[in-house]
Amino acid sequence: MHIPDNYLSPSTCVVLAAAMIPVWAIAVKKVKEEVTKDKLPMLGICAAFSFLMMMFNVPLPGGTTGHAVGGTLIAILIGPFSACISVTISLLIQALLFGDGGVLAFGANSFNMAFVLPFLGYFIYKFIKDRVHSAKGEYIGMAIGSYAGINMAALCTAIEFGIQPLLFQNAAGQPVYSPYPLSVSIPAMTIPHILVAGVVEAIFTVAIFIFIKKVSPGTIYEGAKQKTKAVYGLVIALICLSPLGLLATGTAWANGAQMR
Amino acid sequence: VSGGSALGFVPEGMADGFRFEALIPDYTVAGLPDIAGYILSAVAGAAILTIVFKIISSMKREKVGSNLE
Repeated sequence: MHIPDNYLSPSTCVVLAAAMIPVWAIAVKKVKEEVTKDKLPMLGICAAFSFLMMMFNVPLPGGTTGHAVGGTLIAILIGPFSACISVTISLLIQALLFGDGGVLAFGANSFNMAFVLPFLGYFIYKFIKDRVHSAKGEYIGMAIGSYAGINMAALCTAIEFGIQPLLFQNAAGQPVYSPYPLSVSIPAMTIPHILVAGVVEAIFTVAIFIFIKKVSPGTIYEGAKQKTKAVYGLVIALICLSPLGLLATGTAWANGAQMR
Repeated sequence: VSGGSALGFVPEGMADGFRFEALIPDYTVAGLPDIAGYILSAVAGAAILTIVFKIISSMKREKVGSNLE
């Protein structure tokens, strides 16, 4: 779902980055006020979770690859505003260090994956959890929330791609940036996410939540036992498993910078 | 449309647009096998992210009786 540079017009990038500025400002303020000093490193661990989950590329129908993001999981663990910051920093490292997602498109990628995804996922989770009072209800809320979150993010990405040929054409009427119209970009992005990536996101979300709840409930509930070591262990396990993400070596339609 | 063959051209904004050279492009370290480069990237990314927030945490002052700055 990472938009590379030059797929979107610079003006589109500016608009989406501008939309993110108030979100980031509020998120930073919230984190400053609400997250205590000893809970702050958890944002880093969650950013690492997200970073690593995005390395697990899965082959998608249509010959591309996709990945989970973990935004909803992080929002459930540490709150949507903290999740916004964590995923944003994760995306920043990916763009600057690994060329995964464009630098100009950083605002757009943040909008889709650090804003739309965790907030929608979290609110659906909370909506269901508050109405179904059982552990099962919580897990169902988590699965549906994370599934909906990543799919909405994919839809936003598709719309951002799809409006490019409508808005930006040269004198000859040829598209200047991403050339595919909405009728192509929406199915190309959403169908694989509905069928595969969304399911992977939901499985990752519930599995990691159950693991953390078991080994380090203090990460989730105030006052309970917090075993940071076990959480770091999960990070290391994800690192060791990360080459599985190499198995899917399709050309990514909106992932990486294949058009170099 | 797949593969861009039906398009017949590369859109000009994409052909010569902004170029940013990342340090470890596409999680591949030159001279290392893909798997090693990928694991190294995973380690580097996870380490940088956890360290960044540890540093932010260490800079934050904790006030007794209040978690407001």
